[in-house]
Amino acid sequence: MPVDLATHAGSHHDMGKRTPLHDIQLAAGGIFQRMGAWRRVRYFSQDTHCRDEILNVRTNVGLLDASTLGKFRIHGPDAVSALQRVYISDVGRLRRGRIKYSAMCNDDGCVIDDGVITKRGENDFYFTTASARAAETLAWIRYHTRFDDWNFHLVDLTDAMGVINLAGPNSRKILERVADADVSNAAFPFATYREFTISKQIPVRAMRLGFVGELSFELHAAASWMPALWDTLEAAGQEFGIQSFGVEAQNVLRLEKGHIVLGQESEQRTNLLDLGLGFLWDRSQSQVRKVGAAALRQAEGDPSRLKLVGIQMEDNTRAPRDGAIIVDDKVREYVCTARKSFTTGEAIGMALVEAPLSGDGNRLAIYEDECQGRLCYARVVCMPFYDPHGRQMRK
Amino acid sequence: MGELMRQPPVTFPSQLLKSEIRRHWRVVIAYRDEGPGPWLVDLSHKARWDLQDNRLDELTIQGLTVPKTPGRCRLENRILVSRLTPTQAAVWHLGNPDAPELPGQEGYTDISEAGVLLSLLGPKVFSIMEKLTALDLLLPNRKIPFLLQGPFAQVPCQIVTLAREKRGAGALLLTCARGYARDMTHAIMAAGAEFGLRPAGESAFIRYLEDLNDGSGGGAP
Repeated sequence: MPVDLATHAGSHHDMGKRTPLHDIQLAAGGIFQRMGAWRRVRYFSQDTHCRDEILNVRTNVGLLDASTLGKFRIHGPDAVSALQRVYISDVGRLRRGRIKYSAMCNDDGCVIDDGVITKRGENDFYFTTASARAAETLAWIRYHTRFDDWNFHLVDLTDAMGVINLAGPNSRKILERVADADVSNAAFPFATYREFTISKQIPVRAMRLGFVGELSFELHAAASWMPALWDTLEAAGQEFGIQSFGVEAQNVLRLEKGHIVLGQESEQRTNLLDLGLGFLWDRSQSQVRKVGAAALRQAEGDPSRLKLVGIQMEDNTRAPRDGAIIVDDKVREYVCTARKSFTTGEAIGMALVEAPLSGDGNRLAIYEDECQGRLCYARVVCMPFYDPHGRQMRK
Repeated sequence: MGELMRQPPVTFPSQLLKSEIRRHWRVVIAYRDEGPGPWLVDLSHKARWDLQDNRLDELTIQGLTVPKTPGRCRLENRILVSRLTPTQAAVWHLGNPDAPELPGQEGYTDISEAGVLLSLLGPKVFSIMEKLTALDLLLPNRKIPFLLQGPFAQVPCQIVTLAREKRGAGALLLTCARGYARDMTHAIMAAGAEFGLRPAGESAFIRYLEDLNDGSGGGAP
């Protein structure tokens, strides 16, 4: 069918997505950047290093709009089978009220998504995906179950639900003031899921997670309730000096904790084992044909793979740029993310390197654009850089 | 703590004439100076359900059967049931001011919050739409109401043609992901400016709905 001339002649608008908290963050001085389909706040001040935003989360409490996360419901008699197929972990033993972190791989064993899964009822699950992966998730699961004649239902709730990450050592004190439930560590421990109301009006799905490495409550609520939820938390946190933080602060906080962001610490060649996520792989159920498992079996013990390592700069005054290449007599891969850490006082990062270079203490030479031949140097170090035993997020 | 309010995905700069609070939403009933049409109405407060089942043909939804063929719709008692795929249907409660309770049976999900729901109605609506999509929203051989799924202003949308020309005016329903709401309404208002498109409150849509022959499922063009 020919396309109408009017369609060609019509103006082309820049069609992008806004989260339900867009206006609130704009009024709070948020500086937005386009990230995929979404407009997100990268910074809340002109300080692009986000020193105050980061330290406020480490020592006090901050609010992050994480509404761009992919969010899905899967339900029906064969929902578990479908999840078992696409997630590399054993989802079948997940109990109500618990949360499982897991990853999806492609047929090459390369990680394409990570997120959390929780069980809300019998054969009824709620799971999250990376923001950039949300649009492909329905098709991905349908494709990998297309010959199984399984009975399950998948619903995309990405835009239906907003997410606020209330993070920092004082986050519980704030939530206690507004939550109509016991949110103590005993009643609501780390890696668990609860449903309750805020101020007796706003229904929330709450998760105890720790992406930024601190005591955190991820609150999921219907999109239309999000501004009221944000205002309520902000009002309750006023006496503590609660502050918003943006994506860049989150990026540094999670780097310090050694948590990866897919697409930043991974690429099309990196499999689950390369990223140090092999602990997620459930090998116990050989009858479950997990996507990527066959390739991972072949990749095990392959010495030619890449490895994700932590690096610490010899010159602690600055970090190399993301994407700077690691060299000796040839290119040996690259720095994924590196920042000056205000928490540790060191310039740290994560890099993908060839396996022989990945040993602890190994010295790496880094070449940056326009460095005029002056290399900078880093050592391979253990991760995480901050709170290696995870005590902060389990408090 | 007083009553907390929910926020719609989109607001119009027009001056409010009448509104009412429903389930923590401020629903706009009418704006001042809505003009003679065409109109754009935000219906995002209306309850919408997703229904998935591999036996859809055997199910009834509040007395309505699901159309057999994807792309076909049934509009009765102000409930619109659209067949999306062989195993999926959309149920939109267009008239009921209260949110009906989600049926307890397996397969239903309340997706009212997932998208913005807009209605474009009045004269010249198809002239506005053809500036934004290559989809043929008139499809003369298709019995109305019918559903098309595809790009509208470059965004994946579901569009239901309710009436081609009813006393000189057409009517459409359009839904897309909630995050696109503001850019979508901006694109539609800009495309409709030359035709005098103005925002209208819910009553404009309800009036139009009353004018349609509910029982006929649309009728011939």
